[in-house]
Amino acid sequence: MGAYIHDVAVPEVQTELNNRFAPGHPLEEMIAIQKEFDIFSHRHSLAQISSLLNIAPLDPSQRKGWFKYLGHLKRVPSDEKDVNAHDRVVTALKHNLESKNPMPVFFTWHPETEQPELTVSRGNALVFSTTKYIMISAPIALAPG
Amino acid sequence: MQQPRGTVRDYYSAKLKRHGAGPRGVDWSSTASQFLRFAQLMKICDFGKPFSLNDFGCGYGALLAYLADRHASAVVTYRGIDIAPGMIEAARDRWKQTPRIEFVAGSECGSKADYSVASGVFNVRLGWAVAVWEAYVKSILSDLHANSRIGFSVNFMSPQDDPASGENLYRVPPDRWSEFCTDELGCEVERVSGYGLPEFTLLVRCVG
Repeated sequence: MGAYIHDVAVPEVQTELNNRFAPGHPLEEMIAIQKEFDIFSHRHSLAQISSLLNIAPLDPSQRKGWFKYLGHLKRVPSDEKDVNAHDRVVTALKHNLESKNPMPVFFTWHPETEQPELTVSRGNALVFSTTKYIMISAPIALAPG
Repeated sequence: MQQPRGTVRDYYSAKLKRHGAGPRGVDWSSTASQFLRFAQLMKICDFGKPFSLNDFGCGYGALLAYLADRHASAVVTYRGIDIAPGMIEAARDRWKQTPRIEFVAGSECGSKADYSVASGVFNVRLGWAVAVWEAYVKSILSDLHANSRIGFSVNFMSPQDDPASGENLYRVPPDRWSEFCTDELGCEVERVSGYGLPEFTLLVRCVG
């Protein structure tokens, strides 16, 4: 991640992601956007989706880096055989938002050295809450220096 | 003494300066949520035949992007009106190659069209007393009615349980302005809600 955007921009974009897929109004808005525009589909890249949803760092140079990082996910494996991380995210969000009971989504990271794949799971994302989330965790390599 | 129109102009001029001609420059979180609102507002229009449209509070002309994306074959004669001159400049610059459009700076429609739409123009109350703000809303709804041959559409933020929304925002139950449009303007009103945003849209059809 540090190869694409500055360390300080990572929490900013993570917070934005988690706010936009949070329980209540934010999730309702995502469900409605998906229903109206089918935004999470393989016709759109994650970078395009992220741009349409305005989920990106505010700083223009960091935005570029973020979109590049999302493209890079096409070269990252996922926990589903023969599916790259980019497509896994799009499919997981599409299925969730179009399901009978969509769940809030929590985005996080894990060290690539522990698990090289992007993972999608269900569980309690927040230790202080019983709300169940879809949890999407992307592998991150440590940035040099 | 400054009236709401003056503070609205200053507010959106400052937003444009800070965020540029994009969703945040007009207080929307994203292009997708803007489009979601436009999808409701444009339900007033019959896309089966050519029509003219006033876009009141047009900002940088985001509705044109929606029309190009969702109704590319529609023949729409478009007039965008905005109180902030900077927005009009940004809109003219962005859409200079597009046929059948004009942008004018102003606080009234200024010309009659088949339909008029106004997205998000009532939401930010900027600390004005409710009575003053509602007089402002009334004047805009009356202007939209006077300048729409077939109908117009507007949106309002719904009341929230959270009292922390402050004095900056105007939230109102649908009855308040739905009844104004039927009783005072003599129109038929259709309410649209439950589209994923904490707001509702009024589709107002002019009768007779």
